[in-house]
Amino acid sequence: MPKVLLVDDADFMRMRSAKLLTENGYEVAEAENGQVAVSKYEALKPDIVLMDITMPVMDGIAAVKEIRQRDPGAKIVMCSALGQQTMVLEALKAGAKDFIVKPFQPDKILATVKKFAG
Amino acid sequence: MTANLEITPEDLKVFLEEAEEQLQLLEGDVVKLEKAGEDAELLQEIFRAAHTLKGSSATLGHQPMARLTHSMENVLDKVRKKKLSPSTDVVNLLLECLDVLRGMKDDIADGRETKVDLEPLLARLMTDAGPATGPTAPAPTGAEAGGQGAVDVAREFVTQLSDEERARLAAGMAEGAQGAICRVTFDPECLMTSVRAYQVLLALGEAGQVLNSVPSSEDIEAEKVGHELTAYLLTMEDRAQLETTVKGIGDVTRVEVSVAQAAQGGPRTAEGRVGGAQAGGTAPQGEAREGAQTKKSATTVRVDVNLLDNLMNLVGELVIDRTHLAQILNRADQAQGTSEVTDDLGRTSAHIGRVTTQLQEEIMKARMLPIENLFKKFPRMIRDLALKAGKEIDFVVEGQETELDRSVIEEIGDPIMHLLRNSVDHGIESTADRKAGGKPKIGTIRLKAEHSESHIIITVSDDGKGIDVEKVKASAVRKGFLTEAQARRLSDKQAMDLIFLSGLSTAQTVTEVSGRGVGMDVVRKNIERLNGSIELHTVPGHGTETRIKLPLTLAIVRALLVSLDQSVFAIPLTSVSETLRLTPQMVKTIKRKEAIIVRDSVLPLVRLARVFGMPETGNETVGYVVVVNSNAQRLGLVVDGLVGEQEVVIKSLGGFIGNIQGLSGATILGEGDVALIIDVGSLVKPDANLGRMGLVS
Repeated sequence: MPKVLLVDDADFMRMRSAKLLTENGYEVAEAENGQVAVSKYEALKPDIVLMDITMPVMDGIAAVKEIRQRDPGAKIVMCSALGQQTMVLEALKAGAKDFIVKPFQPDKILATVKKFAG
Repeated sequence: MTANLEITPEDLKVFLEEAEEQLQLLEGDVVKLEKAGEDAELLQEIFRAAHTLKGSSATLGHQPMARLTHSMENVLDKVRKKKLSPSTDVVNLLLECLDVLRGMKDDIADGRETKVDLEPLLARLMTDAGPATGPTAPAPTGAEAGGQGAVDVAREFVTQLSDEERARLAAGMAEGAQGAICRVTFDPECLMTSVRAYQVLLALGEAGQVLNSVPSSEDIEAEKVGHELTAYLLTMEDRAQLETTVKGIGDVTRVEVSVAQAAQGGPRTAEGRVGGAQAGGTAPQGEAREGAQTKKSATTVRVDVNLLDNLMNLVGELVIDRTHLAQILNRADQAQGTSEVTDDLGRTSAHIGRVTTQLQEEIMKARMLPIENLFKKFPRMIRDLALKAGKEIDFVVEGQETELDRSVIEEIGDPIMHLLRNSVDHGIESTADRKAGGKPKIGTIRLKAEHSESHIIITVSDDGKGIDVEKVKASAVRKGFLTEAQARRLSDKQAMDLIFLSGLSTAQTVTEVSGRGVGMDVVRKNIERLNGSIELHTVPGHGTETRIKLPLTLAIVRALLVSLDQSVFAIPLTSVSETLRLTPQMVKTIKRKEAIIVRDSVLPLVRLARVFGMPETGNETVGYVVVVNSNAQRLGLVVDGLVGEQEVVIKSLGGFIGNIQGLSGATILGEGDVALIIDVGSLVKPDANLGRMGLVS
């Protein structure tokens, strides 16, 4: 079962995505900020990370850098809101593979996760 | 694939809780913003909260909320980029938005349809704060190279590449690579074309070397992207491979790759260095992101409050059993003498005792919240009230981190709010009056919380005009609470207590805020219901300070156990000031009522047995007097004996017994006996069945 690590500081967003992915046969782990994501990534080695950008403690871009430094093969997809182009670009340069634009679109999330994690 | 997810009530609850959190945070921060101006960190926090709210509401599918937060974000963005200063108008507008958002949130909570017409507010967000610069609407660059299907690849390379780039092409082709032109069309619905375009360049960069593109990578980063992208690259991969690579990127609707034949490539090889930076490079730091804070994130779980209440109740039962167990042990010891069994039992019982105590403490801690949760709603209120009253007020909050039981926090909000309103409305003078009085132009209101032993002290103070004792007396006389002669006899402290009478107000004009004469009495009632006390100090011309003393929790209270006939009663220690042995010569009769004199002050005597209709011992001068304090009055309660001091877990009397005058609840003692808890406040109430011995007895 492919493992997905959901990183978002908004409980509600995490909960919705987790539900969607679990119902579609993915194993889901969650992290509420970049720092937690980095440690969970090391512990769980997920097949894909869905990463929010603006988060307290450690933001998504810093987290991408940290994770990619530890695992250059990490597959990270940014979850961004409209207006965050610059940040998504930065994340892509830092090694993120793709991005999804919020708000939450179930089919897009599933398609993206499928693309990277099967 | 199930892509349509139902939103369950649990989901909604999480949404609502989170929305409330964000709204509160926003409210406090926006008020701070007005004073702090362009504080980057503060703005970042505001931005993040607004952003979370926007994301969540959009996910919930609540368009109005998402739209409003989006517009707010635009305004905030302008403040962040220093294109707009956080003036009072801007802050007002933002606060108004928050009110509307809260209204919508409440509508969601109550399952109502939101009927607010957002358009006027949205329009104001656009105009008051300048025309919105939406993050979308990228300016397309028209420089589209060549017509579609142009096959003269070589010629296109010539026209689109600089000399240096052509040199690189030639060098690459000499090594067996080929030149390729990749034309990509994006979905017109695509939300972030610039990022998609960038992804294409990155992917092509992995498949070869991107020499140039239209729009260029600089333009892409500046978001100057239409729905098409043409990239010129040097690659070892063939057409099909390139097409597959690019098609894998989201929102790409069409890919067309033309390959230049090696022979035709590099038409004019100019002199130039080979290599150089690949497309991309390092982009300038766009928006200021907050640095990685070192704040450690705690691992937390949300728990239903009811669950905590239940746990507290269960621990209460355990505490009772613990005491009971100790007594059983005692009996066993007495009956059979110490044996191995009773020894073991003793040890186990002692251990259970320790664990129970710890458990009780831990659960108490779990119920504790920083008072910040309550305090953070006040800055906004003070700001609005001050603005309305045309006063300048500095609001200082201290000790927000002080923790206390959530049930207490829930109850003290209204009393504190009332005191603060009084300070704004009656305490702080108008700017002109302050100047005339030689005071600083800006008035100060302080709200402070601190721990003091097992209590929390909340202080509301202002540097306003204070309370005129004579005015209070006059008002009380006018309203018929007492005669002029009585009023003259009152000490200042007693006169101050008149403020807590229902229906008394010294405000000359009744304002929207306060001054209708309902208030201080309710404030005191609320505080005393929490086993707390309230004190008021005022210095005319210099200000007023109100101190509220509260127990940390409502569930457990230290009590003095007293006996009456065969029964045991508990008196909360918060209201006990001393105990005395009753001697015949102490009891005096004043105005046909019993009283005692303790250190020169006359205390009315109340025989508890009589209040509760119990048999009296017959000898009226034997027993003890418990001196209690409530409503700033002292009273002597006559009981048969003193049993001891103990922590008791308060249980309600239950609906079928109803509200009994003089009792506030019950508790279970170690032996399993029930002790009734005495409500001291209601015993001193003037309208109690004890006769009118209230205020000026």
